[in-house]
Amino acid sequence: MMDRKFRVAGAVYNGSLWAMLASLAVFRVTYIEMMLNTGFVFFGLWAAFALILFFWKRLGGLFGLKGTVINLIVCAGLAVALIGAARLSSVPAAIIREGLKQPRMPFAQLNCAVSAFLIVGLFFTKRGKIQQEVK
Amino acid sequence: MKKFFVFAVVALLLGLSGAALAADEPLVINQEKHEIIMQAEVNGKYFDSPTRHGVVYLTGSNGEKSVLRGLTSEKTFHDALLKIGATPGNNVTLDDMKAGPTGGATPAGSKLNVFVTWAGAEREYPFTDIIKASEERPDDYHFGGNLPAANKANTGCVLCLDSCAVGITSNASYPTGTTQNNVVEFYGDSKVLPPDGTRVSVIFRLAE
Repeated sequence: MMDRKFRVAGAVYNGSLWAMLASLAVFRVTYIEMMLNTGFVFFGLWAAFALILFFWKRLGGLFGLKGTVINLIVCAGLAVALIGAARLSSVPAAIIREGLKQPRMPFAQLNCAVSAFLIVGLFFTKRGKIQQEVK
Repeated sequence: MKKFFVFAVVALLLGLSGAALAADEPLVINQEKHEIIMQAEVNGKYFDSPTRHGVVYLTGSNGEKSVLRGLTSEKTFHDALLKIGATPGNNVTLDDMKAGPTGGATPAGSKLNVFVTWAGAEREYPFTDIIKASEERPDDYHFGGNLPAANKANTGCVLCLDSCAVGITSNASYPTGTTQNNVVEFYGDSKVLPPDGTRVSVIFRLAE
């Protein structure tokens, strides 16, 4: 039961990192960005990646605390490579508020929420390798 | 785990509170001065990312794709332009939007002088001053018209930074095909515009 909770946390957390990275890649292509609600892309991919990580136990099992921290660092580096460090304070927040259909939500408020999620979320990932549930 | 999700939901709800979309705001129409003032908000997303949209109505499908988020419907704006004596061009077609990097179409309707100002601004800024273009050309905004296309597409486009078959007004200095073929890129100028979310007034005046 405890392992299942850690698997959910790991799936949600790491799924969000991959979803944002993919959304930033979509955002970079101006023609596509003008056509799509990039926020919907983010939330859709987040759900998809989280489900994959949860149900694909061998993959999801890689993302205990250590794997998640490595994933966070790699995704942050790739995000900087995609859009530059300066735009990290506006583009992810802009994507999220577009997806939430809340255009007036200030970037600073969203960045606080994202930072809290990234920091607090790490505490919900399990230290050490996640064991597969014994059936 | 439960506490985490409760925390996340509460944080989300707090964020969403007070952030609801406003209704269509009235334009200020001055028929003697042949002038329309529309309220808008700065969208800081496009300070560092390119866009082809200058002003788009908040609830249009392109509402989050413009430098300024307009607070009045493009259809209401079109009718207001007619009231101040402007004549629509209605000459740019959707086929013209498939133009190559050169030889595209430009709107033929009444010329408009467009300015932006806000509380605390030193002056009214010509629209060109709030936009950074990779190739600067003078403002040449015209009343494109395009009401049937606007009604069908529901993009919300009020002012396009290059010539357009759907936007109510657009800049004839950049023909159709300019942004589709990456000839020029447009950004909001953060050195001129106030921060993201600031309310601004967009002033459309019929040129003499």
